[in-house]
Amino acid sequence: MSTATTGSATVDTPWLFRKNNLQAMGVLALVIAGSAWALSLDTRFVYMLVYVWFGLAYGMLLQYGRFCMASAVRDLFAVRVPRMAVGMMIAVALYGVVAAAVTLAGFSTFHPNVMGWHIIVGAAIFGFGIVFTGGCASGSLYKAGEGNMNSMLVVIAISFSQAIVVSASGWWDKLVPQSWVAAAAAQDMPAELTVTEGWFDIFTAGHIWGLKGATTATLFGMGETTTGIVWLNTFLTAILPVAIILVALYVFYYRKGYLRRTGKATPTLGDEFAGMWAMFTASKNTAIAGIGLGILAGLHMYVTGALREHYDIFNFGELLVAMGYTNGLSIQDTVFDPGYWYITTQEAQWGGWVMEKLGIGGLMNNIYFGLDNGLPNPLLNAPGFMSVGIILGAAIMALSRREFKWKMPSWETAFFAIVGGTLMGIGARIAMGCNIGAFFATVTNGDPSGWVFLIGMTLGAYIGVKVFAWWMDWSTARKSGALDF
Amino acid sequence: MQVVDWFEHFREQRAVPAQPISRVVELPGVGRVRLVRSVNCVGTMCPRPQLLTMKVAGEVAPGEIIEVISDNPAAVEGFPALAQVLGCTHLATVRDDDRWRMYLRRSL
Repeated sequence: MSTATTGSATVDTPWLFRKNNLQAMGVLALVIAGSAWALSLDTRFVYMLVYVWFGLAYGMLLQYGRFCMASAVRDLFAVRVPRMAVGMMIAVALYGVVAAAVTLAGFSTFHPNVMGWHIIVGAAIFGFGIVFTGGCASGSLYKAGEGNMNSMLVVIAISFSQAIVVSASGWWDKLVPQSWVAAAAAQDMPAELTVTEGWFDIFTAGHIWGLKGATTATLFGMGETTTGIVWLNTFLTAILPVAIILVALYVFYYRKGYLRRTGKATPTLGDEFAGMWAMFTASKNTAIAGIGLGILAGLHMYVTGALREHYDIFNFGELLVAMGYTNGLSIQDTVFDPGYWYITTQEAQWGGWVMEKLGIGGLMNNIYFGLDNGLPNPLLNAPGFMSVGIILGAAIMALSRREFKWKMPSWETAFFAIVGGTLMGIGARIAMGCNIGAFFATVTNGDPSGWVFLIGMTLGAYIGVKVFAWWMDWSTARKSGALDF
Repeated sequence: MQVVDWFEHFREQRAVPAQPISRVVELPGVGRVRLVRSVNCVGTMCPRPQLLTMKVAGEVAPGEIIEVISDNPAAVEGFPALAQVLGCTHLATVRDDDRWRMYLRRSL
């Protein structure tokens, strides 16, 4: 195998002055200038800048490794390639180790998700959607940073579909059972939230709040102990499942081809380990990105946790109030502020904010925005800037590697982006997160609900691949005239 | 006209499997080889490039060489791994200004 380059790379311009590198540095300068401006307004904006710069680093690494978590589950079924699934497992293992250290140091920002059937259902809808959009929620952000307008369309579809889903009422309310309405009414909630109207409110107050979620250590009453954090949360919930999945990927997807290529008819245990190593290093960029993302995601929790300690706050909303920004906060004076890598909720807030500006009322009367996450101006949306950071970080990396290219959608990809993105938004809300917030951040912090999400996402992706392959065959046959219409 | 170009692109159905061709290309580190198929996946999103390659690789005879053109970095990254699964040898990836050309030989 060899790789070669033709075209403008051979032009003898000094590295620093090549057009693409100048553009990359321009984007970086923009982020630095924006950060300096924010700090000059109020130094407490450093809390928001942590999100910006971690987002920037995530974006750079995602682009560097072409780290497509959608392909992690999709390609196993579509073409039986385990490359990205391996990369994702490497990232999970490292995030798990760093998360344990951060938790032991007392700076964890993590809250477990509740466990229930909703995770499988939502994750399956999400997994079905990602096959058609060509990327997950983070993947769409970094691909948008590569100039892919199709992925930008996906981000927009995710934003608005979530905002609509969490605020819709009327006939939507018929989707949920009456028992949930009664359970929601029994909750002692302020009247302005109208928790018995709006299917998502009824779902949240009448169903989700009745469910329990905990880390494995907490389940065994060892949530605060070192043994619980290290052995139950990190080893049992993150490392052991990762090891099992990696061995399964090797046995079912890699071993046969590897042994044939290397001509080993009767492999020894050493050969098997060499084979596993070959699987890990099949794509070095992906493995490096997995290592980097895992470590950074853990460090992100540490930095935010330390800043919360420094400012003596639990939530960015308190800091916003102290700085004099009171618009768009929830009735608890909070805003969405997970303190770790998260994607979908801030996009829902973007969508919701735009809808509110367009004069659509009632968004703050629901639990999702009104009670929990608020609806802040995008310029004050800290996790929102993490998403912007991912786009810009990916743009910097793509520009410097001459991989940035404006790509306009065709009618087919645009249709898939909107429909797939909408399904991703709906799925993410029902499952209470995407493959980052509901899988990556959970299993690494000892919350087993993330594995349920992965199972659901895998199921959805499996069905999605079948439908996509059918569509491709059908549309190709029609195009080539094999079918007569 | 940019707008017209874009409209043409918008309504175009992309990436139809390649018809048989016979073309000789010079590959770095490999030499001159004859192609039997060329799959143009420019502008497509995953998993279309992978599925099309799988289809075309299944249609050629052992020893024959196919070309896949893509401008999707994530798809290009996964191609060597894809080649292994398809029972092909990944001969080369040649980078042009805004796209990559990948060459796979169906194993004997």
